[in-house]
Parts: sequence; structure tokens; C-alpha cells
Amino acid sequence: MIRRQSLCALAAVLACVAIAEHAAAQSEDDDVGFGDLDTSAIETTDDEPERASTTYSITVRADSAVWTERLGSAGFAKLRFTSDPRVITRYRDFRFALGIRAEGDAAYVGQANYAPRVRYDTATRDTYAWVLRPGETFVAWDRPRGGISMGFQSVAIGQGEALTVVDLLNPRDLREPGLTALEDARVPILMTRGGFFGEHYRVEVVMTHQTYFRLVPPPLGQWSPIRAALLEDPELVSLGIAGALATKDIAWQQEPRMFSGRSQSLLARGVWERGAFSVGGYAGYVIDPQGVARLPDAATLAQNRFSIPLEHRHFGMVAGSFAYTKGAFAVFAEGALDIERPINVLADSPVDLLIDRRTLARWMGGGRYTNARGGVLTVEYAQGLLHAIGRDDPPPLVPTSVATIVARYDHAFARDTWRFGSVVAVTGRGLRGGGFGRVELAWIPMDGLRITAGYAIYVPTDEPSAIRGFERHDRAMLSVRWDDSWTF
Amino acid sequence: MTPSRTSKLFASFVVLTVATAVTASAQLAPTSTDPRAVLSAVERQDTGDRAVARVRMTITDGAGHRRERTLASRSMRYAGGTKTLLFVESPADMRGTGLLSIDHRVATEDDEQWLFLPSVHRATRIGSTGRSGAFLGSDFSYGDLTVVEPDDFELSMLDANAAVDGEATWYIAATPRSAAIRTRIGYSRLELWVSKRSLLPIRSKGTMGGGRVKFIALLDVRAVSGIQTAHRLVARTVRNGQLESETVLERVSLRYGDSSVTDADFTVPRLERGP
Repeated sequence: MIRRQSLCALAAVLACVAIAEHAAAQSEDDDVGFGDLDTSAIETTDDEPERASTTYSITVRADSAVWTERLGSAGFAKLRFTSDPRVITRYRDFRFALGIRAEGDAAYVGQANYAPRVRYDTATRDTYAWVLRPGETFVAWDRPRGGISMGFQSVAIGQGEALTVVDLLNPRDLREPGLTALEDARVPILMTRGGFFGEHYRVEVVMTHQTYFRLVPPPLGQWSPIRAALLEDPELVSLGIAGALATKDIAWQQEPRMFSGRSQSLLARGVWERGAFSVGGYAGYVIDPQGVARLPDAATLAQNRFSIPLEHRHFGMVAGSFAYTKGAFAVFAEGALDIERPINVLADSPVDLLIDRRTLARWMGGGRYTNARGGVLTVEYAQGLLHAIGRDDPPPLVPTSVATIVARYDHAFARDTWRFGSVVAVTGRGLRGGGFGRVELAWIPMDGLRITAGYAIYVPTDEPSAIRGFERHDRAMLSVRWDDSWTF
Repeated sequence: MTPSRTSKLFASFVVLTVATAVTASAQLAPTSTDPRAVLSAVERQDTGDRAVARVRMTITDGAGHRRERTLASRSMRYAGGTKTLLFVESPADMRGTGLLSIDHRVATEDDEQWLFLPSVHRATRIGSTGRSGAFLGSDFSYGDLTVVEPDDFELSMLDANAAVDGEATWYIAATPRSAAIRTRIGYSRLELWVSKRSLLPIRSKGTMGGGRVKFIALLDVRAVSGIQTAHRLVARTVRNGQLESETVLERVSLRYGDSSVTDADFTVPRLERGP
């Protein structure tokens, strides 16, 4: 009993001490939290806060990488310097933008015999060493309920983020599959846009006047899925063709030319949004971004250096999109019908290539969840289906029924000083083509400066896919980015 | 910037331009001792309309490193609530990021929000999220800058005649009614000092997890076009008597009743045009 009373007394004393400490801590917190506040009056104007201005901005980046599975022999994978100077200004109802993108990659420039360095063929160096192209450069006339713009622009269509079946107008930077950031993927091209909109709808017509398909790996380039398909095909190996191809320098010859009568495409869209719903309809006569290959004649194929024509022909497309948002969740989907789209089909001979037109149905669906702390998880799935295939029709060279699933998670923390990003993707027919993953951690020590470290891993299989043959493509990455702007 | 963070930024800015500004016509007897009546009066206030504003936000971390953001907004009332269009003007790597929000007054309806990231040329519809996360790396969260919904809390009047820097206030304690509300707002307890003059919660103190306490002060409160408006907001995160970080929001410019603000400003195509 005594012991129990003693314990009770001790508990009471400890409780009193704890309460006293808590009160002291509270008081200390209050002194810091509400102490020394600046109560002086701020000089605030009621002048036009959104004054007309001209903004000059620039982004400078250095992206480096090493092939982690080739460190001993040729690990130097990338040292790309990128500069994006931009100017944007307004005058009355007009907006003017001028931008340029300049890139140089030391891993592909010079090709002096420094080890460890891969020696690339000419086609690869032409694609990766230097890029100089317009950035967003346009003039726009903005009216309260509509507008028109012309110049080098990017337009995002549909609801998909990483995967889309309707967003075909802007060509993509496909040089490093799985590694290109979403913000770098879309290449601005010359186009005219015009439309009108109301509170819940928008109607727009977009006409492109240019093609730009040079940012794809050459047929036998490191990042080309065709490389493995050609050089490891048992039939081509047995015929000795694969061995002969391996010594050649092969490039794509993109058709039509960048600016020509056949470089035009047209797309109209109508989008209706109300409450949690968004519904869109699209119709167009667009250029096939993938292209169909034509094999050169035998004399050309016998040369050590030649180009394979890759034709980007037109086809009709009708499509729709849908999105619904509820709380922290959003779901979205797109569907497209490609009418008489050109595709390569298999010929009887392994050294021949045929072109046919087929009707394709493609769709994607996805969802996004945002947690209470700002982390964003996005999952997207896309699938293609081939229609109108007859009994005697030869099968497509590149499977059209390829499925892809991509999951991304992004999270900023420590007051946005650190950002984590990750991507996992699986692709191929029946998702049997393998997958890849990428993680990145960015440190932002001060506004405008971002240092990012990351790692990417590829796990391909023997099934046809966009990452076939990437067994030794895992890489560690480090990049430094600086943004600055001046407004006058 | 992730969509969720930006959405919070947007939502916060709505409140910066609206909820921290109330007309002096708001009436409540200074002798009232009913905390629910006080907070209901705060919630019901007629706010400024057709506002155009620019705000400078300075974030200072515990080590003394400072970051500055500038935000520009347009907002207007409509029959069902408030519409706001917001753009980040600086820093450079966030410049042009825009948010469009249609805030419904009816709590059961989700707000409609679109985020525009100039780097991806896309306005994305985003879901409303928890209110406890920081936005733009600041000490403010969505919940800090929205009007407290009295029905979400158990309320008690701690002092009906508390003075803050010589200003008469109601000192009210608010405890979330459920764990879900606590998670959503990020506080296990809130203390509010509501000014009897302006009906603004000029001081608040929120108890968070991990021993952190967040203090918010609305300063330099004065009338703009007849509307009581806080021109400086200070948020401090404190832990065990140590300042972890501080965010100061200052209105650089502000105009109510701007005739250039129209319905056409609050559409996705307008959002995609940038600042």
C-alpha cells in the first residue's frame, strides 16, 4: 500500500513537472512565433498590377551520364550542354515569343580516340552531336473569346501525359527512350492555330506546316530497337545479312522534307468541360509520326554508307478523350481510330519490306492520385489494336497490338528543396517486351539552380519492343540546371 | 512544381485576395461570446470582387537562406463562389506556371482546378487534395489560408476580450471533430484571435505533429476600396522554442473592382496563354 501511495505521489510530481515543462515550452514557442513581428505599413500601389512587360529568360543545362555496365571499356555516355534563351513580350492584344534551342554533346563530338569512349557511326553522330532549332517562336493575337497564333509552337492535345494516342502534331525527341523528360519531349514546329472558346467549351483548328523527325535514333544506333531486330534475327544471321549490316553506316532519310506541300497536317478539336467532367472530340488529316520504311535498291544496300527512306504519310484520324476528377483522384482516357494508316507489313522474303494501309484502333487510360503531402502518383496504360485484317493480309512488321504501362511518382519535400521522381514502365505485346525504371533525386540549393542525380535500368526481353536490345544501357546520370529571367 | 503543390498555392492565393479581406460592414456584436457565431461571421463576409493583385513571398529557413517568389492573380466572385487565375512570375524555373480555380461555396462540391505548366504546354485538371501540405515550399498550407469552416470543429471561447497589440479580439480554440479533418487541415488544435474591428483572424496558432507549432499573423490591416485587407502575412514554424522557418507574404499591388477582370479570364485557353 505504501509503495502504491509512493508511486502515485511520484507520478503526480512527474506530471506536474511535465505540465510545467510543457507550459514553458509553449511560452517559449509563443515568444518565437509571435515575437518581433514587423508591423510597419507596406507600400502597396493600386496601379495596374499586371503591367505590360518583356521577359528575357534562359535555361542552361549540363547533362552527363555513364554506361554503368561498360565502365571498364567505354563508359562515357553523355555530356550534353543545352541552352534555351527566350524572349516574350506583349503589345496590346499581341504576344510575341522568340526562342532557340542549342545542344552539343561531347560524347558524340570529335570522336577522338579517348578511352573510355564509344566510337559511333556517322548517322549517330549526326543525330546526337549537335542540335540547333527554333524554340517557341510565334506571334499571337489574343481576344477575350478567341485568338490566332502562327509560328513555331507546341500544342498539347488530349488527356494523357506520358502516353497519348491523340497528341500527334508535335514531333517528339526519341533519341533516348525512357530518359527524356516530359518537358523536353515535344518539339515545337511551324503551325497556325485559331479558335474560340466560352466558359465551358473550346473549339480549335490547328494546321502544321513542317515536319521534324530527325530526333530519332538511326537504324543501327545505340538506342534503336531495330538494331537488335536486324542484327540478331536468326534468319538474317544465317543468310549473312546481319553480319554485313553490322559494318555499315545507315541513316534514316526522312520524307517528306521539313518544309514542303506534303508537310501540312490539319486537326480540329472541340472540348467541353463542366464540373468534374471533360470530354473532347478530335478529327484530322495528320502525318504519321512513326513512318514506314522503304528498302533501297540492291546497289544502294551494297554500299557501306546509305540511307533508308522513312516515309511519313498522311492518314485520317477521329478520336475522343474523357477526364473525371473526384477529390484527390483523377481518371482520364483517350481513344483514336486511325483510318487507313500506313504500316510496314512482312513480305515473303526477309530482305523485302512492304507498305500497306490498315485501320487501327488505339486507346489509353490512366489515373492520378495526389496525396495530402503533395506526392503525385500517375499510372497510364496504352494499347493498340489492328482492325480490318483479312485472312490473307500479311501481318505488320512492327506489332500494332503493343501495350505499355507507365507508373510515375513525384514528390517534393523539405520545402521544395528536394524533389524525388521515379518512373517504371513495361511494354511489348502482352507486356512481355520488358521494362525499364528510372529514379531521380533533385537538390535545389537556391532558386534557379537544380542538381539532379539519377539512375536508369533497362530489362528487355527477346520480344519486340521499344527497348529491345538495351541489355547494356543502364546508366547513372548527373545534371546541373540553371534558370534565370529578367523582366522589364 | 507538382500539381498538388501548385493547386495549394492557387487555393491559398484565393484566400489571400479574398478571405483576408472583408468589408467593414460585417456586423457582429463585440460582446458576443459565442465562438460559432464569430467564425460564422468571418466565413460569411462580403469580400472584394474583381481583384487584381501581385504578392511577394519570402521564405527563410532555419539556416537563414532566403527564397523569394512573386505571384500575380486575378479573381472575381460569381453566383456559386470565387474564380481565380494565378501565375507565378518568379523564380525563373517556375515562371509562367499558372492555376485556374473555380471555388464553389458549397462545401460538398469539389473545387475545379487546372494547372498549367509551360514546360509541358499543358493545362491539366487536378483534384483537390489535402490541405496540410506546404505550397511553393513556404510555411503556408492550403488550410492556413482558407476560412475555417466552423462545423468542422469543436469550439470554445477562451477569452471574449483578448487584446493583440492593443486590438480587441475574440480568442477561440478549435479542435477538429474527427481524425479525417485533423489529417486534412494538418492541426490537432487551432487557436484563433479574431479582430473585433476587421473580423479577420489576425493571429492563429496551430499544433501540428512532431512537436511543431505554426504561428500566423495578419499584419498591416487597413481598408482598400473600403475593404479591410491584410497587407502582410507572416507564418512561422516553431519547434521546441526554435524557429524552423518563416514565410512573409506582402502585397505589392492590389486593386478591387478592376473592370478588366471578366469571365473570359477564367477559362483554360486563357490559362494557357500565360501571364
